Amino acid sequence: MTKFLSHFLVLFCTFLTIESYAQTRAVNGKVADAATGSPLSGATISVKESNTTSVADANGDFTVQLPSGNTTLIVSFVGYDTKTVNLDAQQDSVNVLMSSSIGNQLSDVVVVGYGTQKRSDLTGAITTVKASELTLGGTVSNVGQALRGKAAGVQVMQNSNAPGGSISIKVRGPNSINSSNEPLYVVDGMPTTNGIDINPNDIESMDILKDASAAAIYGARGANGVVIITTKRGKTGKPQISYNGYYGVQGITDHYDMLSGKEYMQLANDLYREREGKQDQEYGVYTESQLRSDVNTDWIKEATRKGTISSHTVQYQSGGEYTKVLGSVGYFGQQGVLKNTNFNRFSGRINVDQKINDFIKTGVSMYAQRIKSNVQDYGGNILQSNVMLGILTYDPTVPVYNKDGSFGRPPGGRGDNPIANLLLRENDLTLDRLNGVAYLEVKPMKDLTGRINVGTEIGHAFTGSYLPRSSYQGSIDNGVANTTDVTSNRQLLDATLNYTKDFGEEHSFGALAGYAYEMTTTENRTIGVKNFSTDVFGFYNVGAASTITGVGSGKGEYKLISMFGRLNYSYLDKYLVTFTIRRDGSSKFGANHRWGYFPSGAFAWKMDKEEFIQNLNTFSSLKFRVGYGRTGNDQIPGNYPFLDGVEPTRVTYDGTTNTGGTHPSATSPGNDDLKWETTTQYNVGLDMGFLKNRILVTLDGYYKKTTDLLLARSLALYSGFTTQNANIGSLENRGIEVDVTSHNITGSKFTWDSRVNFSMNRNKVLDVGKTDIFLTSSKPQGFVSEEQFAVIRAGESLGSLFGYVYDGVIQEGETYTPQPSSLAGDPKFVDVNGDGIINSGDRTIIGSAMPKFIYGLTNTFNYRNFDLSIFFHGSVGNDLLNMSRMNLEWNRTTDALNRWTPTNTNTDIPRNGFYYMKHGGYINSHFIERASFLRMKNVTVGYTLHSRSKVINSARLYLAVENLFTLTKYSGWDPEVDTKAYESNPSQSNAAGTPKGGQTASGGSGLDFNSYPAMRTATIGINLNF
Amino acid sequence: MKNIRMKYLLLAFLPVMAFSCTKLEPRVYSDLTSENAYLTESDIDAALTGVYADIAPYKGDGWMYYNGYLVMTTDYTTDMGFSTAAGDPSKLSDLTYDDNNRYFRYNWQYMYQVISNANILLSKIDAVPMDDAKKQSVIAQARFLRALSYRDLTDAWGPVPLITEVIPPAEAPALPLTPVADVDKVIIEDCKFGIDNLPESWAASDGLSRATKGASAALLANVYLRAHDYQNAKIYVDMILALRDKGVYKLNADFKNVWSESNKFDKGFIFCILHEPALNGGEITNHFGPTDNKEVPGRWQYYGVSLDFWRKYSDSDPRKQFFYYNYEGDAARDDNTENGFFI
Repeated sequence: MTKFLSHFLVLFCTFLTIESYAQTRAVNGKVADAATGSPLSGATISVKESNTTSVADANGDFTVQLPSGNTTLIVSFVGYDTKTVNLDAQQDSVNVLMSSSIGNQLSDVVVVGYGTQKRSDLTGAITTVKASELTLGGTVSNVGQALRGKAAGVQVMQNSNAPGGSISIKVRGPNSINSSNEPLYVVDGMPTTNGIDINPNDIESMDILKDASAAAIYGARGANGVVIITTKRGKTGKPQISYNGYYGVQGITDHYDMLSGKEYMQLANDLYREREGKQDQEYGVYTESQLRSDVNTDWIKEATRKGTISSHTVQYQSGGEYTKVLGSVGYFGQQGVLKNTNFNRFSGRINVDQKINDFIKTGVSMYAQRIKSNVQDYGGNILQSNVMLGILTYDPTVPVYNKDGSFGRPPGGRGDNPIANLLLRENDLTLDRLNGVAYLEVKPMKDLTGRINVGTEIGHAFTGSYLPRSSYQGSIDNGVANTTDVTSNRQLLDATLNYTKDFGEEHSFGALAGYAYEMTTTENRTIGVKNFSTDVFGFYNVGAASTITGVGSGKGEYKLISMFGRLNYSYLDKYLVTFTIRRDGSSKFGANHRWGYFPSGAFAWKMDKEEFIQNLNTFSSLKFRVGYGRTGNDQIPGNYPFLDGVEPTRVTYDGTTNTGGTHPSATSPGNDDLKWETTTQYNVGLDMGFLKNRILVTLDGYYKKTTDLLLARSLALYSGFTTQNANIGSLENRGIEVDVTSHNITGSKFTWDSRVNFSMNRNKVLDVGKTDIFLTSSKPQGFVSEEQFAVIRAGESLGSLFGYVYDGVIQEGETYTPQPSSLAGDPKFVDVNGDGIINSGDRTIIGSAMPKFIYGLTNTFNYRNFDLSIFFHGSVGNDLLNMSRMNLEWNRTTDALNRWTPTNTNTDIPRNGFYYMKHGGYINSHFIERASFLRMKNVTVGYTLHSRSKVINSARLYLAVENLFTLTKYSGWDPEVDTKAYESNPSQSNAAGTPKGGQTASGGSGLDFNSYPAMRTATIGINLNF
Repeated sequence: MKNIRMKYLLLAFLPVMAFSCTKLEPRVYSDLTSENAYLTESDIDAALTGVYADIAPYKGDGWMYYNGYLVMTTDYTTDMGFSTAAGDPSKLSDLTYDDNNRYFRYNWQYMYQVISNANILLSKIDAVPMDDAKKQSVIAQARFLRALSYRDLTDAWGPVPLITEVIPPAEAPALPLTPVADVDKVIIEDCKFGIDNLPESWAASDGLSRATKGASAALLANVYLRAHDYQNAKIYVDMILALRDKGVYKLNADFKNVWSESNKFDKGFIFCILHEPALNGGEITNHFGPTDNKEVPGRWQYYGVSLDFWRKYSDSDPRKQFFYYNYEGDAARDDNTENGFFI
């Protein structure tokens, strides 16, 4: 019928053509995939230099009206190379075969910041990750997860496995110590610190600007690299609706080998007796009658469950000649494997592009989302709020519930029942974000484009927590409620002028000039109350409480103003140069140091255009790149880090009421000289294509030096101040990156593609001022003190773990003179400084959290309609300080049974853990573990059905498994965790746009304490296109 | 044609040009700085309260200086106290501590914080218009607190850097250790100034726990005693005894009442730091009573005596009552209680 109709139309049109004397003529044809021959429905056929377009129907058929004298058609389709078809003067039908653009990435357009460039014309180091690679399968809930293992030089760390748990991304190693190391995100032209949270299904592509020559156009904030996210937009052609959804179940991976209740009690009594002066106490902890108890609670099992994960995104797009629209609604939900933890995200997007005439274009991108999450604290401390500590270490002889259904709670106040503590603790997090950017593009001349972006981002983060009267602490205080509201508003205005001009065949020239203004205001309000008469209100009616425990509010603002320019020049399309300059001003610095200049320059040589390379017959493409640039960083915590702060405090002069007072902040004595932290980077790169670009290899080598580090400098304590924000010292990163894309087999029925990336970074602190900076862990037990666990020291890399060197157990009869008070079975430490005594001077660097290299490997297979993708990633050479094991090995896991006793001497586990000894400390090399891993991150099998029905276009069904296996020697739950990074990055502050990072996050990576359980996920998903 | 389009472009860019500014001065909304924190009499009152706060830092459940850490170095290194807590505390009691011990580092830090903040107040007060007698009283209180911290510093370390003026912290030079005798001179001057300018006692509305003439005299006597200058010490001890005779001071009739929970403040106190449990507790106060104390329940107990030890006293021994007399708990204070001190 359709065919008949189209023939009829053609016929009809032919008549018309004759009637109108060859004003237009109809051409019909078919568009198909060159490899498979399958029709390409939705391909756009346009007539060159005219507004006439047509769209191929479900069978790939089209008809287009060709104006007289015009014989050129341009056929384009997503994922295929655009094809130009020249027709003979009389030709009225044509078959167009299109080649998949995979394998021809060189012609792709790359977003470079305030503009785009062809990949082949790039002079800087930019990695592109496309939509198809992002959401092929698996449970990718955010941008960070999507990037993991996909781009050389980009290290993605899941700091916590909790639903919505934080992720940190480092591009080419950490540049900074005190300020953020997270890259800048630019979503549709709007710089934002939280681009990471958007719905991955809305993303068209991500371009990661890695080297300074690429990132310097973002000057002040380019030092950590820039992730440019371009969201999907409406396209001219047939309207489309698509649905992407998946559902998955999650279960925790193998956990610890715990002692039974009886073993635990016996051990506790034994350990008690092994303490000095307690030798005669047989039942020091558990009485004879208690020892008969058969209760054996597996707290981990009780605290966890089968998690679920689901995602649904519906997208609609359409486009005519003037208006193009994309709308998208998404939901992502996760019920965590740990009870009472979940994460939900509701999001919506509308992108509109409107052509007014040939000279003026405008458009808008609107995005709104709400995240609702039940969160718990995994901050690596021993507060009750840190639910994992109790779950891992609590007494297994306590039942979860008593016979009457109440929670089992032994007398003596050893903390609450961990399940009560987990289930009763209500912590709700709501993050709202509304982001709108509008643009106006004016093209007064062929070569000149002006563009203005105006945007605003409104963020609101609300945390409400309630401890009911049925919880331990809640029962003491009759219900405790806390609420925190943080609102932020970021306003952006930028304007650019872009000029491109070719002078003859030889010279091609481009120039960009721009101005940007950005202001962020942040407000917070918090209230804490206790003493409720009922649990009914939760945290929703704080006025019902009789006692206010704390109230606070604050407001701050931050401004960034920039002027920038870029020059591109290419000669013979062979030699390319780029220069950029950006002048940035930040309100975070003192009046005399607010402005900084950040220049860059890069040169690229398309060697494949040289005869001597072509004669080699080796390279199908070859480009050499070299670049230099300076980028800046002002992302130091706080809005006014240069000011000398005076803080509120209080005193009670009568023992009942409080009087407010003020005192200078010991950590902010003010510094008018505070200025930009600057990273200078050199990059050399080689882009190679072999075998008609079936194999593409990108090699990059870089050296980065960051100077004027924004540090909290330690002051002489007798000055009355502890630290001061200052520009102190420097550090460097050097590394190499390899990215290989290979189309191993490109048959018509079977294809096999591989993408491998490998990166190696060496970090070295060059100078941190007069003294080392030490980082302190929280204590593993209530009765021991906090200790330093990491050091930032000149000559060493960041992430240097620091402590005593463990040398096994002191045996009976052995005298070890540096530890005169030690007994047999006590831990023995190495006298590192050789002074004959073990004391704090013997602590040294005992491990490094920096991997020697990281890698990712993706293999994608297609056979007919089946697809299979297998993704591995891994890390080699990094250590973790396993503080969870510090507690477990002592008295909770079966390892404790292998501790030193007079009859079990061949062991490296001391007689009574590391808490009661007289010399040395519990932070020592015994708990340093190699955390290298190889993880099968994702396996996805899919089947695609190309429908010939009019209703549905294509459908793809897939199954995926995540974390199928992990090869590692690390004994903890997950070798990827980073407790300190989590600590300094609570999701609340993240939402408010507060910079992540902090001295502890960068220097203190490599700690695992009370982390969320690791899990495995099985997913089933479906993609439908209508 | 082209010109017209250029005009459009200019028109479009006009708002940008209008708005494009380079003014970066940020507005400070909710933060105080040294520029605006010491301008009025009320600012000075607040700053003085701040110095009082600094001798027991971190309100709520703080543990620094007089809130906890000080007693670790004064008592737990002697027979007064003994700690079995692993790490730094037991190293103090076992005398195996080293220079990395946190109690040394933090006491040093917080004592100097009091001195520095008192010095800042003293440097700012001159320019503030206020009643002169009031001004002298504020100066005297700040100097008393500074003297107290210098006494504690020299008690613990002997010679220490002596700072009596504001120094820019970043430029704090490597200051030499000042002999104790020279530090004492400053303490003595500060105390004498207190004796001359502070009242014998404060009205409840002014704040009971402020420094007084007697407190200055007691501190002064203490420092003279330490220097074995008994003659001078006696002058100031006598001054306190005279105040007692005048009725300013009076010892509590029953010793156990001195430390009872109900006794917030009595005439036996010459200088004290007061607490209330909700917003202004401290580690010693909040972690001293029994674990089921009604006002401060559910706290870990660090500084108490062990129940085993306490039960060894005969019920007829009045000393048994000294330990936690009158500290109300939910359970009875008897031989069966598990809600005792350190268990």
